Amino acid sequence: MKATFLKAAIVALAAAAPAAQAAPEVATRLVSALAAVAPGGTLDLAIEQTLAPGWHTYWRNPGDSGEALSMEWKLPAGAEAAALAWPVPARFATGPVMTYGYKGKVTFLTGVSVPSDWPVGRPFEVAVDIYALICSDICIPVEASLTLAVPTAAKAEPAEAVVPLFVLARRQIPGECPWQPSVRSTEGGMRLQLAGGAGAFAGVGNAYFFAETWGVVKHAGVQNAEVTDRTLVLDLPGGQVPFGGELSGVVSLRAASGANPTPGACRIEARALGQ
Amino acid sequence: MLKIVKKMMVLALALAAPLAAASAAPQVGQPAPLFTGVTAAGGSLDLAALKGKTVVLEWTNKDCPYVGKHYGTGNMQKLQKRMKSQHAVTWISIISSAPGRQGYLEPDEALANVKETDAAPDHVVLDPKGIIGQAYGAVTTPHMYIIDAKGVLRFMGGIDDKPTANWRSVEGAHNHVEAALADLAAGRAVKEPMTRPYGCTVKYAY
Repeated sequence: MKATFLKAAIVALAAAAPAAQAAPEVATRLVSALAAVAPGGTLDLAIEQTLAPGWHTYWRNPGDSGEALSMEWKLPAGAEAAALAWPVPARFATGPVMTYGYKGKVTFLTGVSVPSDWPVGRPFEVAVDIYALICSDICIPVEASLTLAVPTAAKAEPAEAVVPLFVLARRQIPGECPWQPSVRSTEGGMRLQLAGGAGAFAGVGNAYFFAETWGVVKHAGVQNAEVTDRTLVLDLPGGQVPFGGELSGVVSLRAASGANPTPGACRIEARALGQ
Repeated sequence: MLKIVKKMMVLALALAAPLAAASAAPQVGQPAPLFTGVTAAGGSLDLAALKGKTVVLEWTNKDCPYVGKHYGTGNMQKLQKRMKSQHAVTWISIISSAPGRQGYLEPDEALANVKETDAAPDHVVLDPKGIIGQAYGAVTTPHMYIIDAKGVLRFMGGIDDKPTANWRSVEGAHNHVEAALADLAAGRAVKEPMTRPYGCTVKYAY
């Protein structure tokens, strides 16, 4: 029995075929976290892009240029794909232009619901068409059509070989920040404040806010951070899109020099008072 | 001595331009930055001389996939021809790619590209030093600007509401340039005077 599952996992990996219009600068694959799905369960999936040195791709808000990954799922009736989980991005500055994205290896995560009446024994087939832009000095749009057929069993079975891949990928997905966020408009943009308990920001030296929506924050602008023991205040320069009272995105923290390694990044949704 | 000082001033201005671009984008409703540019046809084009006409500026880079979407599908050429016939606009395509970078074209290559793509700009301005591009804060290709008959900037931003290089997005897109020109022709305020520019980064000489 176990051998069957192993074989299934290998089939699933092998089915992660590269694209029809693949470019040598990027390899894209679709990976199943499960060797077997169960009816009524969720199939965790990873879309992994491996970029050649010097190339990058984009976050959900690509910044001043570029384009976020987009996808079209082809799923069995009754199955649904969850929203894509985006890893914490990095900044790419080109002259006065700032973009947000990834280099090296990037893994996007999602999950597909398996209908509760899906027959055990019938492979659960998922397909996705991916459209992405990759750039170095120049940009190339790449398309990939990826498919997987995962066996169905009464009880879900993990694909052991890809457990590390999913563990590492989940670490890159920002969780919700544990602090109280608030935001207000200022003359030049917005002031984002995060309030925590005593020592909440101990060891934090600096921070950067990646706004999820395009143009609310001036991507290439300077963000001034003021860190105290309990609060982090970020002055964000306003962009082309007027501030509408709501701000969501990822706060990336940098350790103060001499402090312990960086506390990482997390996601906030802030609302201006009275809005 | 005076000559040297003058030369130094020009140099200082040239050096200041790239830095200024980051913060000093032109303002919609204000006079559009004036420029004199070299055209692919070998002439000189002075924006001030076009007063009395509505002018469209289109930043372009023929090898950028976003520009490729609009020209490959015929969308840009159709827009150029339609806007010229409907609103008598003067259409200026501007190439700010630096020599050696993607999209840089010598004058004859720029003219050949117009012919090959059946494009209809009135002028192709070559801006290899990026001086005009940076004066306008042009960030992407394409990046569009509309200047009214009085020389006032009335629109700047993305050509439409589909910020992707995917050719399938052209059909059904809402064209912001066409809408803004219709507003201007009708004497209305431009409903969306600033839209999200999208595309490749302009290949300036950084």
